[in-house]
Amino acid sequence: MSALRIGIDVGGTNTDAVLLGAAGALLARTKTPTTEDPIDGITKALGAVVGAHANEISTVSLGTTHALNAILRRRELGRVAVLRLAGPATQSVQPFAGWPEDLRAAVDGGSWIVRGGVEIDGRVHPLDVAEVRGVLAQCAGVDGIAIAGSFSLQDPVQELEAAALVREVLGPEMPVSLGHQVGGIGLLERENAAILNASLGGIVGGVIDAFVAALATHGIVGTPYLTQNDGTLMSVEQARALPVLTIGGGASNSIRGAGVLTGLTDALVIDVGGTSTDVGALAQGFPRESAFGVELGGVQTNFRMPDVVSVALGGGTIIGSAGELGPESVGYRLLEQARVFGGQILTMSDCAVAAGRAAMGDAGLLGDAAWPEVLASADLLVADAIDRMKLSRGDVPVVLVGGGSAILPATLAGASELLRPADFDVANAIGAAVGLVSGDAEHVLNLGLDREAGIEAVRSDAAARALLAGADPARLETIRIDEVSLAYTDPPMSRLRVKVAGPPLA
Amino acid sequence: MQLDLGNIARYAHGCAVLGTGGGGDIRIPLMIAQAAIAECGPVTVIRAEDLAGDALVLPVGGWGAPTVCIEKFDSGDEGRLLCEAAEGWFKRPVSALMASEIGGGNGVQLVSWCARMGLPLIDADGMGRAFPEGDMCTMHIAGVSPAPAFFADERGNVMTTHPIDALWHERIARHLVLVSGGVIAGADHPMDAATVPEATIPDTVSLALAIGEALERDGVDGVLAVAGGRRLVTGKVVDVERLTSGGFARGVVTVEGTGVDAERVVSIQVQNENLIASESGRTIACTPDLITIVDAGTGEAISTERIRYGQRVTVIGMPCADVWRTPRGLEIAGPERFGYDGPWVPIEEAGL
Repeated sequence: MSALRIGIDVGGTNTDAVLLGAAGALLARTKTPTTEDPIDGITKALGAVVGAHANEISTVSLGTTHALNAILRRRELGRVAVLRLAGPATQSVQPFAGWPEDLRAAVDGGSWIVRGGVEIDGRVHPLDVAEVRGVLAQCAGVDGIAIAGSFSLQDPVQELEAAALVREVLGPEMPVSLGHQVGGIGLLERENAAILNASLGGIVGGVIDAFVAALATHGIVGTPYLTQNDGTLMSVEQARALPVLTIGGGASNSIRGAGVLTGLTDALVIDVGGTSTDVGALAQGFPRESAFGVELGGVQTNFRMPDVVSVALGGGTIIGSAGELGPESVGYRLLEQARVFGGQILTMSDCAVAAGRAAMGDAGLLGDAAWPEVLASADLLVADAIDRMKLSRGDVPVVLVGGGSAILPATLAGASELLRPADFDVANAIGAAVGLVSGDAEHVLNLGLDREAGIEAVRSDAAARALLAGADPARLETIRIDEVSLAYTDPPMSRLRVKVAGPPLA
Repeated sequence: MQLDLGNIARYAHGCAVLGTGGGGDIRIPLMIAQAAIAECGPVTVIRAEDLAGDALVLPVGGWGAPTVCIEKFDSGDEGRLLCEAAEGWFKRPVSALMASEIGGGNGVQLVSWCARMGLPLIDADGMGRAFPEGDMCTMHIAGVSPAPAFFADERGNVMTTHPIDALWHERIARHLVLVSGGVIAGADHPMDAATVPEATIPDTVSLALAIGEALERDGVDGVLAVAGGRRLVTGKVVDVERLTSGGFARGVVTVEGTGVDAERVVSIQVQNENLIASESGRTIACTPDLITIVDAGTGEAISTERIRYGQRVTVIGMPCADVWRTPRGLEIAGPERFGYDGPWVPIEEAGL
């Protein structure tokens, strides 16, 4: 019987892993420091939780910050040639416009805007095949090609045609990233997503190789998955093709994990660390996504990340002489610098211990001192973050996770109840372990045509992506449909996003 | 005064505030303007009075759907094509460009055309804000003909039309937008420089820049001081009701007050632009006066398509130009024109 699941979450500080039983019971857990090469920590964490169950594992899900770190540190990125299919339209803003200089220097392998593109009404401006071949002939030696065309989400035909030309001119081994496969509406953002995707092929491919090798080392039989921005999973084949989608797994995983630990599908989740507190939202079992695309390493993309409000408040937050909160933190040095641990610095943890909220270190070191006004202003900060994340007037259940959550009180304004589940400190790894596999699609819908058929087309697009990512076709569900009507369109049009998800194929 | 790489972003944010939620997103027009200025140099802003009386001034702007512009935007050649078409008709050079609509992206995009053509930008526009239809401009009120009108798309197609009046102009232009795939650049109401002062709202480029500067310096308070506006409410967006009818982004945004505004609920009627703000059934600001929803923290304007549940916002109201407060101005752009009950109440007199 192979029905056990492993979840691994590589964070900035710790690499967490859990082993879950068939019914979801936590069988083993570990927390080890994240290593310089994160694969070492991953291998170690796998060994710590798998025990004698290597033959019983069905899935192993990995959430990792490799890709995000590569972008933020401008390291190990591939050089990418960019082909935009839109000319002569869009020549007023060239590819890489608005990119930070250092990131561009690391990635830019040349860019061209060639004749082509699709119109909103479906008309296709033909490619000049000779022009495209001529451009590609100049691209030998780059690590990947990014291709993005106007309205390619409406009709990807031209991006596919250009990809075929790449294989013809540069050979089948040349990696190609297509805009319609990685990004949403917005040509520049989609192009940026395709560029970042192409530049991450090498590093994420290496992580996947090492991950698969680590599984073999421990004799683990399960199917490997990577977690993506929305807290769902994708197969390693999919992750090799779409590495950029692995960037935001961390925050999503702890929100999903909080849901699993409490059985809630709709709640706010407060993750308190040493330096900051993140308030996210669980909506219908999934992390609520940001309404707009996010900036990654200074580049505007149209990726939706978990909608999170962060405040500079954590267990290690330093209290100033006038009682002001941080924003500096002693961070991982809490155990030596906080007063309850014999240090000289007054931290949030000391205040929480003095008030009896938390028990750690030696409370006797604080004497009779208490800081009720510090705690009051910290509570106000968190209550305000809760209010920002709430979507309705009434109070909502709030789940506390993360190592620093002991600094929070037993009740908070805006919270109908405050839940502190056991194993809250590995919620992220649990979230990775139980992830569903999803697919997203976004189209502009012509409301002058058959609307239901239009919605169905987007839904089947999303379902196809979920299947590619490794979902069980028999158990796919439509998770979300968002529609926004568009101004000044004739016939009337709307922008439609659909998310479909199901459990991984066993 | 010049628009250069140092101040163009502030100018664009000022245009967004004057956009009353519409006029198109400023983000891509700003990138287009920045690229053009970087390549061709800054743009000089002048008053119409600085030109000879018979100099040709061309009001320009973009027509179409903002969403199309994020997939398919300027080739960069549109300004040249419009000017050449006008010069071919008038047999004399275009001396300056002017924004038909200062609000939103339409106030920003033409800066790139000025830069690429080496033409000055007139410190005035035809709306002082953003409006959805082409006849809602001060040139129309002043009796300037929209004809001849010139259009150019990003593929290089150029069209000249001779509509008999503003309504036909709108009708014809909307068809050209469709043919060109959703967006098109246009020039209409061509004028002699001598006509500009009486047919436009003066100093709106300066105003947009001053608003952007105040925004950066002092946030919402700075904007209110510069624009002579008032804070209608500060709070949280608790409802966004969108109606999908007629191809317009219609809807109602409800803001629940926080802090000093606790217990207050203000709703804003939207049809591409923010048109009416009301509280307990009473109008507190109304088109043609300007209503803009800005981020309560940064003061940056939020366009109607980007309003979302839960956002912390301040709703500000600003008085429109005097020309809109005349009987003819109110007929063209007052509440009844948009299907709401009148009468219009000037924002200064509406009690909060």
